[in-house]
Amino acid sequence: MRVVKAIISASWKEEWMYRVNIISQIIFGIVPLLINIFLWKSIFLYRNGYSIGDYDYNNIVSYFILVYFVQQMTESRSLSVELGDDIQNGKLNSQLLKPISFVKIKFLSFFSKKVSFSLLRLIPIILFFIISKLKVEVNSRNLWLFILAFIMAITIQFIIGFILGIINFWFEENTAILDFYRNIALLLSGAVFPLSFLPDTFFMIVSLLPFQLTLYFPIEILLNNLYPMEIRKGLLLQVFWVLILGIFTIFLWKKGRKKYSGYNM
Amino acid sequence: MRAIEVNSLTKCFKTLQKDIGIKNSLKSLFKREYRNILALDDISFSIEEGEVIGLIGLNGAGKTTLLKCLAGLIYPTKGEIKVLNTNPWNKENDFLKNIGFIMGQRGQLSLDLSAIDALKIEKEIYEIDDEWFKEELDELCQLMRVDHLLKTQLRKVSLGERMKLEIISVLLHKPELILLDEPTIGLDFIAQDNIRKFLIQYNNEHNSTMIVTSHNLVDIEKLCSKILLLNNGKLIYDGSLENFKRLYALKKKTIIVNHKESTNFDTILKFIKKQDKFKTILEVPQENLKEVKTILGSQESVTQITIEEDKLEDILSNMLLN
Repeated sequence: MRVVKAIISASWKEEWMYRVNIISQIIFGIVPLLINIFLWKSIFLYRNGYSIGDYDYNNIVSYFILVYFVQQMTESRSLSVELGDDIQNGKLNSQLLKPISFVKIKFLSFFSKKVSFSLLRLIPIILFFIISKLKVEVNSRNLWLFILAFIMAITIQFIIGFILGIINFWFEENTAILDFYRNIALLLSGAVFPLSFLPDTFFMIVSLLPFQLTLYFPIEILLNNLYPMEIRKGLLLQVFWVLILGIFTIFLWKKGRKKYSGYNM
Repeated sequence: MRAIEVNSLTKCFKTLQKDIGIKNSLKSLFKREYRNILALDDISFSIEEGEVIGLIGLNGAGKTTLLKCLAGLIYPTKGEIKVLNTNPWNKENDFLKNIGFIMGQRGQLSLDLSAIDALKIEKEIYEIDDEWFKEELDELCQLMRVDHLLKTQLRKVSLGERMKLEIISVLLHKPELILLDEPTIGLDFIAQDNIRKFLIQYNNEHNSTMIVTSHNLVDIEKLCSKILLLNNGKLIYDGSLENFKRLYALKKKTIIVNHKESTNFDTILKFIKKQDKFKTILEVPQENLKEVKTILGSQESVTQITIEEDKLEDILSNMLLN
């Protein structure tokens, strides 16, 4: 338990070492969100305020604010880059020598960085909700379900980020693959538009994939757009993907470590 | 007790070969040429508990690869390794808690943290108790003279001082086996000497086993009683340093003679390498050594004869180049 505390506090300290970086991320990170909101505002203005599908203006703005938040909170590209770099440059060596599971260290520091960051990122979001007088009705049952789905989302993203990092055991350079993944994930996770805008069959397929489970699904829970049946199905799917991807990761990790030669040391 | 046992260890790396130029880079995208490099070739040896071993060899001889195999970082192509009675590849916690790996070229502490924060993580990972940690840290810091650096961010500490902190971080958990890869690289001579003294003291107190690689042969001579000599992945010598020096003693010895002006060198003229008014340096083949000594000894004008001991450096380069 003390190890957990030490790793968490260390990764916070690492984050906080660079103040300018943090502050500018909070301030400038919100710019794309604002652009998105202005875009939808003009779309609704053009439609004279008529809703699109289930979404009216109020809903869609809430949706994108939550997208911004959940996306930032679950983002695991930085983990892939870090891991890939560790492998490419042999930094992995010193971590493999520690008498503690490597995955455990990575997960703890990933999770705790997310938590410390989320608190900061909440500030502009709350301000935004207050200023724009948006109303989101959240009942406490949905909030709990959201938190559960959200934790599962972070876990799925962690595993995917881990896989995309350790493919460097074979490729040694994973940036192109990371870019490819990001583009696919943007579309299929619901970051560009709510997935219910998709045609039914397409939506059916996409809803089974892990991408939307990390973003669209938890947000829809919070916005009260899902039936209890759908929530149950989504949560089960999350567990399913965590298991499948987790087993795959263990397999890859074991194979990769045999290939590893600890360069640059 | 045996600390390390290695049986016909072989490690083969497959590496991409690429010719110079953009054209060849493009070509290499489609058709890849690989070359197998035999980094370690059928190596067997064993090390007893408490021994300090010097692992020497030229660049690319396989020293670091061997250390990495011993620490369980890389997977051997063939052969068996037993370190502290277990297979290092399995990464058992007991094993990992009892080894320390000092990598001179690459630090292990996070550069974003201050030294004390980074060391505190080590403390928790290795489950070192508070009091012990405090005592040990105080002692190590005083020995290495780094007390004043503990609160500085590691990125801003100079290379040599960071090295000292790295060594402290590896020794805090009192490992039974310490692997040192170039521990004195980039250090000033006083720091080098401190670290050597410190390691000797540490070995005496804890009877820990150490394997040291270094291109600084002073390290090897001062620290190690036994050496392992690697060349092109093969183990070509395994035994005591003294024996090594005797076995591969240089064919020619250097003799420095201090004398008065009137000395007669006529009979041994062919051995003279350099001659001043009062000092002559001779280079004498082993077989003529006795003869030359008697000739010099019989002359009254000779005031002092010094036969230089072979330098490890010279023996090694003589041996590896021929």
